[in-house]
Formats: sequence, structure tokens, C-alpha cells
Amino acid sequence: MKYFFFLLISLLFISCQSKFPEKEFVGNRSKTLVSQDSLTIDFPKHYKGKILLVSFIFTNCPDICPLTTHNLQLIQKKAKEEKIDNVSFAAISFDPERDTPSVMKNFTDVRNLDLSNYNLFSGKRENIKSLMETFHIVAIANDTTFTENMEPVYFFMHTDRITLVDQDQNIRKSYRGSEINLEEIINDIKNL
Amino acid sequence: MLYFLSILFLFFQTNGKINIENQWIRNAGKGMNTAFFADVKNISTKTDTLYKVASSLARLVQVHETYEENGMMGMREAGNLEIKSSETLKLKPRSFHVMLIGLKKDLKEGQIGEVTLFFKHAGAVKVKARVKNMIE
Ligand SMILES: [Cu+2]
Repeated sequence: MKYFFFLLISLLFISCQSKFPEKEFVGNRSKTLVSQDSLTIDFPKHYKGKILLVSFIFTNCPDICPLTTHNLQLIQKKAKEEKIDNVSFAAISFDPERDTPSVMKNFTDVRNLDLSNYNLFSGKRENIKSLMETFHIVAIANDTTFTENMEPVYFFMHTDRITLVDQDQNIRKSYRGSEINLEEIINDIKNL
Repeated sequence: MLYFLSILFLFFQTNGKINIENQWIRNAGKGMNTAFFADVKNISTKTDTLYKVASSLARLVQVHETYEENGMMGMREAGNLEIKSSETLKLKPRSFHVMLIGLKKDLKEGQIGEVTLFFKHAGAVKVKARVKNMIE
């Protein structure tokens, strides 16, 4: 009986220690996306064999999304310093009508993104919708105000998340996007 | 000397009732939206209220707040913001900010932009701020 409890407690301890709480295969749910350079890829299939950090954003976002894309930049920089080369970064727009390749390209220029292993993606609305479901992302547009010229200004209420996908295309962990623990994420990448 | 003063101006501005410190604007492209951030300190003896913001940088300028609801992040107009005597209102990422909607031109790192904050007692406070990518 004593041993049983010991075993139970050890098992609990081990499961609590697990670094990767999730394991959900997403490799069979790929959709076509287009990058800031107008390159077409199947996402996430394109990244098979690599570790992937992915977030969903819109470039018109003034506060949360720039923090998230900047955090991806910080992880990218740190990974480079630590000579981790099997990791890629993707930010997918949930506002594809406005986020055309040229708009995304301007975003990557203004923010000096290193595009060697970091891309922005947009695509057909139905593809974006499907990928948002796959990655458990919600974004709700809200019509807030109008400019002097009566142009509508809308923003999104959205999930604030960076998702870690392993080399076999399983979702393994989710982090907040706009605020990160850099060490935690780098360690997780190393442990995959 | 003039150079030194103009540099100082970018970190600290005051009209005797309101001090503005650590102000910056996030870089963004023409037509996009961005935000102005600063520490707004009420150095007067009375409670003051930030009730309006203006800037020629954008087509629409509002005081906003970022908020969290059901695990999602959103943004809304904040209305009037009270600042008690000797207290500081922090306009910062993931919180209150001056929202610049529809930029008239690119705001690139290193450029200077101007925003005016209107207070019920202190009146208008013009602030020059440097464009940055992110506070490091
Ligand atoms: Cu805002």
C-alpha cells in the first residue's frame, strides 16, 4: 500500500513536470498561404522537419500584435545566438482582405524583420479560417469608429498566443504572445 | 547647448502642472495604426483629467486601452482619465495608450513625432517623441 502511494505520487510528479502539455497532430490540416514575398506554401506542411513558432496577427494592430511579432524577433535573435538552426517563425494574418503581400512586406520593412526564417502570411479567407480553427485562434472584428472621411476603422478582439509546433507537426505548447518568458521558450525549443 | 536641450526635450517635457516622461511612438507604415506611450505625471496640487488627444501624424487620434476578456485581447476608447495630484498615468504597451489611427506617412525608427495631450486644468501639453521599434 505504501509503495502504491509512492508510485502514485511519483507519477503525479512526473506528469506535472512534463514540459510539453499538448500533443496534437496538425500536419494533415495544411492550407495554402501566401507570404510577404508572394510565395505560395502549404501551411504547416512546408515546415515539416523543423520546429515552428506560429502566431496569428493583423498588421493594423497597434499594440498586442506588434508586441507579438517583436517577441518572435527576440526568440529568433536568441535562437541564432545559441546556434539553434532548426526553428522557423510565422505570423499569419486573420485580416487577409487588408493584409495583402505588399502591406505585409511594408510591415516587415518598417519593423526590420529578418526574413531568413521568419515570414508573414496571408491567404484566402476560408484557408485562414480553417487554420485558425486548427490552431484554436479566435478573432472577432469590431466596428469602432469612423475617420473624418467616414472610412470605417475596425480592430479585432483576438487570442494572444504563440504556438510551438514540433518537427513532426504536433502542437506541443502555447504561450502568451504579447508577453513572453524568453528562457522558457528557448529551453522548450532545445528540448524538442 | 541647443543640441543638448533638444535631446533633453525628447525625454522630459513639462508645462509646470504636467510632466511628460519616457515618451515614444511605435514605428509603423503609412496608412497603418500605431500608439504613443509616456509617463504622464500630475505635479500640480489638483486632480487633473486627460480628456482629449490630438496629432497631425494620423487621421484619427484617441485615448485607448488594451484589455483582456475571456482570454482574448481587445482595445477600446478609454474616455476621460483622471490623474490625482502627484500621481502618474502610465501610457504603456498592453494598457492605456494614445492611439494614432491611419498614419499620414511612414513613422520610422529615429524620427520625431508630435502629440498634444489636453488636460482640464493644465491645458494643452505638446509632446515631441522619438519613434522606436520597442522599449528594450
Ligand atoms: Cu488602441
